Amino acid sequence: MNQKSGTLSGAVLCSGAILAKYLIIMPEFIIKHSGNAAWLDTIIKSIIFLISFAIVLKLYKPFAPNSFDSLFIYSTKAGKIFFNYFYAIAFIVYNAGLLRVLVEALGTVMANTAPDEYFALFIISAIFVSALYGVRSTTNLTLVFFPVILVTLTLVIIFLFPYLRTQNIMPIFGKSTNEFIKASALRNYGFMEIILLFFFSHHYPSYKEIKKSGFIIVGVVSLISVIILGVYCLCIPYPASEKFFLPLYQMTRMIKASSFLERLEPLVVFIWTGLILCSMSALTTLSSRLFAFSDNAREKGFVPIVVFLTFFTAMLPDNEISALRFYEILLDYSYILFPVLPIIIVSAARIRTRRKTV
Amino acid sequence: MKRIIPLLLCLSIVLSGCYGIDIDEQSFVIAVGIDKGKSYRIRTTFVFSNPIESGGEEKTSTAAKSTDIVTIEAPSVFSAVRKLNYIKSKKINLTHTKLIVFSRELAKDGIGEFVDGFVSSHDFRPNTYVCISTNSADKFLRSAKPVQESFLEKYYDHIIKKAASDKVNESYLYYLHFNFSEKSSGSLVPLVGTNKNELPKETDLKTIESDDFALNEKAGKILRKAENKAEFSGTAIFKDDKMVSTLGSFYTDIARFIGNEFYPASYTFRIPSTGDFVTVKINQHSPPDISAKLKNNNAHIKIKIPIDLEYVDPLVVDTPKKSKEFTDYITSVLNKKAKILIKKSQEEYQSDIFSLGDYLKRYFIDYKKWEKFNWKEKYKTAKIDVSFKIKYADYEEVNH
Repeated sequence: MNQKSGTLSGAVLCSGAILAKYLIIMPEFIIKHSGNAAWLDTIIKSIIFLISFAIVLKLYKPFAPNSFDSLFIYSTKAGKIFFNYFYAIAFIVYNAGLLRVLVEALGTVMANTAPDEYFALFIISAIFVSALYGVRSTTNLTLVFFPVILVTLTLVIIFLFPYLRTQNIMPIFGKSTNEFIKASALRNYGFMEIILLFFFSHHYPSYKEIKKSGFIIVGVVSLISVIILGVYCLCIPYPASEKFFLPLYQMTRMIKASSFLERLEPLVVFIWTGLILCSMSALTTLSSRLFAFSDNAREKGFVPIVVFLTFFTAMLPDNEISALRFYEILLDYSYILFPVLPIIIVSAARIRTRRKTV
Repeated sequence: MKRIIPLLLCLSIVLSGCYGIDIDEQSFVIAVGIDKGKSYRIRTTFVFSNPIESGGEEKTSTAAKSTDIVTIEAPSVFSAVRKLNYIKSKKINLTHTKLIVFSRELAKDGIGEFVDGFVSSHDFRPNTYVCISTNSADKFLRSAKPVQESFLEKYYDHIIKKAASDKVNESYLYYLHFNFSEKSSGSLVPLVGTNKNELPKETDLKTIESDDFALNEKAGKILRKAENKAEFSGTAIFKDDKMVSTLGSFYTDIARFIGNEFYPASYTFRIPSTGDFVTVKINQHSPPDISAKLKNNNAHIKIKIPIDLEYVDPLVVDTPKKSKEFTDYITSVLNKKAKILIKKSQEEYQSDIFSLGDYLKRYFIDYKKWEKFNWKEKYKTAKIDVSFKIKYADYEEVNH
């Protein structure tokens, strides 16, 4: 893989992993707190994302292109074990949350009577295969898949143009100014998948490439997430927008361009499933690696265990409502995985290196 | 291991079964009519498409033969669907429903619970059309017997596209759902009905000299004779989720002008001074200019509607004086009718049927402040000016 494609493929993998949530459920959570100002909220969130990424990147610079888990070595042995297991378990739980959301979504839109396990087993087996092949295969798959998603999204947005009404985004601060400020500042929803960039940074030749890749991710994710939320707010007036489950799917169902283009929603289901499979496969591979302590030989052995744990954690919530609530709580605390812990780990590593040098 | 995985993948594709149900094992509902029930709360009429008949040879594929109509009384639509399974051998599929008709009586009591239920159930598509029937929904659905279309669903699709529009007649299920959720704006829903199918036998001296300004026909009242008794004309007015009144065809067109949803149409008017009948084509090329301001917490809204006129027979208006006189007459009548409609919406219907409140939302910082402003109450006293600006083909242009 040459340098150029390395930068691009890394950016696409992380962007896809973050956007998977935005395409399926994130707009619903953001609208719940910010109302029809969700687009503005997403712009603020993107700015916070950019700043936090810039801070982590700056602190990480001296260690580049070492992978992030290799920095744990600067901590104590117990610390290394803690961080490895903490991240591995966190990724499993996040994957489980997303898997359950996808399962519920597929159940709602495709087959109400089908048992959740039917979809979950189907998806988890695909993740198992993909994780066994490793992150390079997942990245290549995302690289092929991502342009398809962009084309599909563009198509959907073009067909939604007649349904956009500027009055729908007024009043500008949405539901309530206080809640908007609180939601924008405190609810820093899931950009945590960008951590993949730091964990797989050893695939990059230099810091420059990591930096370039990182800023592409921030740009792509911010742009697409703001567009999705913007279109949603322009399309569905508040307070009806607050109650809509699976926003992108619902918007696509509104399209009635012609008899042929009346039912575009299978495209949405296709991009959901595709992106989430890529995202979950990458995180499953990473969790296996963290459990194996970067031991390539043992890494594949952990894949079935990680997949098994993901499946059973995903099936823990009783119903659709508790599954969504579970995932929302996870997202509320995703800031711990990025940027809080990375800042602590990299700062600690910098201090220890400086002390050693002194 | 790496050789086994592709094999497993291939097997998973080859050996996978179909969880879904085959198309010929399903009954597709194309229209649903909801009336008040006699024994149970509601009486639901389902119009089914018969795919074997409608997909068959031309000699059998008439709309009438390709449908099956079932009426059931039940506490709710979904419990009626459950009961349908006792009657129909195939699985009921509602996702191809084109039209939902509510009876006037039911609409007066409120249809919010039905609309919200349909939207959140995912069984109905959000762009299913909703109409209000002047008589019973069951009667209307049974009277719809299109002659030109082979499929009834095509007939519904084509005719409602003409009767409804996105902004004025919020006829889509999701637009109604949005409006009912908003609670500060009213809704306009297309009116449907069953015609007696009789032409008057005696001359009516009261209306014989009337022009299109005077005629304001509602569904079921159009003077005509045809094989198909079903018709779409006029609009039902909703305050929240309850129907409060109806508009005839002409006032519906006025509402469409305000909502920039007017379809080009020909109208025949009578010049009062000469008594001549003149037919013009009216078109609306550009959206109305709506400016809304808040002064001392009171709303001031100005609506300027530009329309284009074209004489069907230019020779009728053969002098500049006549042309001016005619244009002035149309302008004054349109202004008068629009003012009447707006006044009625403020005083009688007490419902912002034109969604004018949307233009005021920008003056508020958030939704809480907007709710506190209480547009529903303020609308009744809002100052609303409406005027038509007619751009007509110049006399010189027309005659030379």
